Amino acid sequence: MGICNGMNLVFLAVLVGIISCDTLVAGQFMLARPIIAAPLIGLCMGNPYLGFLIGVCVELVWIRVIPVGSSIPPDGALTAVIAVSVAGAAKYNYGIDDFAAAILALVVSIPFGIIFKSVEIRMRFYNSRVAADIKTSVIRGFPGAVDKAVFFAVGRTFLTGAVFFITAHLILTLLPRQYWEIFDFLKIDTRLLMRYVYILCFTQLFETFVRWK
Amino acid sequence: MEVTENYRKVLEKVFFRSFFLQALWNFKGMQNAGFLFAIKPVLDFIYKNDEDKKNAYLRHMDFFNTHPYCASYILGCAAAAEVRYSKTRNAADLRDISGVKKILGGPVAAFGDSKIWGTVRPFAALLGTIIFFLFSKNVTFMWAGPVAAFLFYNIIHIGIRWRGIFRGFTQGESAFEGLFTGRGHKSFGYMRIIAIVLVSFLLVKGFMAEASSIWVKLSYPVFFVTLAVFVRSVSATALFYIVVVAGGIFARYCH
Repeated sequence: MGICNGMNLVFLAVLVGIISCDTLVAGQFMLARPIIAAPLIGLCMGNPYLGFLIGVCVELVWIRVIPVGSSIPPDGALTAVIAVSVAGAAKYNYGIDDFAAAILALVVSIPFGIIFKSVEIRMRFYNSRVAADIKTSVIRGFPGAVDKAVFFAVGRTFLTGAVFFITAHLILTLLPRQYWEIFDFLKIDTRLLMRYVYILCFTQLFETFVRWK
Repeated sequence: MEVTENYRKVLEKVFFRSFFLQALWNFKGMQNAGFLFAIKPVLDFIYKNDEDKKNAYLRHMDFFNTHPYCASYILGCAAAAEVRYSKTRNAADLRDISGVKKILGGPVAAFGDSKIWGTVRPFAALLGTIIFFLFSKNVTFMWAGPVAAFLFYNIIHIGIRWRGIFRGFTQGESAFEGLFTGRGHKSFGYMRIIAIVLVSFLLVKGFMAEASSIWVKLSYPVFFVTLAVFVRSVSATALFYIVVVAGGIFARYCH
């Protein structure tokens, strides 16, 4: 499945929809952690190594960002899966190496993770209305309203994640060839650059366990 | 409260429904609708009268927020309190239902945020990362990383959810003593110590990585120390972009 053609993109979108649900609304089994979600998407695109590279980076760089109370961190899972799909397509189309594809894809995917955060905030505001409707329905004698509302909430999250993924993928694959070949053009050693990104990952891990309380 | 065969079946339904606790998370009542969804089988089982059922449903639409996994303990406690109230119709038992949610929500959330989000989740990620770096030359073996992280995390996650509901139901508020103290609590401390050893191993392995010159080799610890200084004051996203730019310049001119 080397390239993201129509059917493959729909299949990936379904997978991303399931991953989106796991982030908050259903389960939270860690399927939505970048270290698991990204290799899965990589596998579906025929390049699991790219998934591992991006998954480890997103997981560790943002490891200290946690959803405490009502705070909503940028969506790491969506950032990672968008990055893997775009990097996979770029590698297939332009023949760039894994490290260059991973770093360049992450650079452009992170803003989408931040944008999705605001989508999620809107969904949570909408949930306030749904919760009020449930209360009204219960008072009126419709106790099954909460089951229906939960079912629709899961469906809504699934669709939002899937549609957002397809949109982000289509936008990012429009990036010109020059962008993906910028490291070749500037003669940057991507393996060394990746090591510096790993050092940032280790610093975040170190901070998490040694200094962070 | 004793778990009879009938209650066991109902509590199992609560367990499965607890995975959707945050499905309707909102800024006004937070997990209120999710809590009602999870505890609904208990309410449907104990209240046969429509009016009682309606009042019970509305009780659980009040504000509620805690850690989603550890909420199971509160679900179990609240279920037991509902069963008690359905039998006695005592005002004190009625107060217990919302009391247990209000009093325990905060401490349980603090426990979950620090131990689950702050320790178990990064530890699972570290486990996956260690395996990724150990088998970095064999993609097939790399899969052991995500699989190990997934299994480790979910054994604890599902264990907390399952035990929480049944312990909360049988032991009431005393179920929390085992959560905040005892062997389970100590294991989080051990996890932290193991994590520090593993992170140190990763760091040493990273510093020993092959390099084209002594300057490049020296740059690894220099990068680490510089990042360690700024890691608290600069956001993770900004640090990532800074590393890509600074690392790119270094990789271009010093390699």
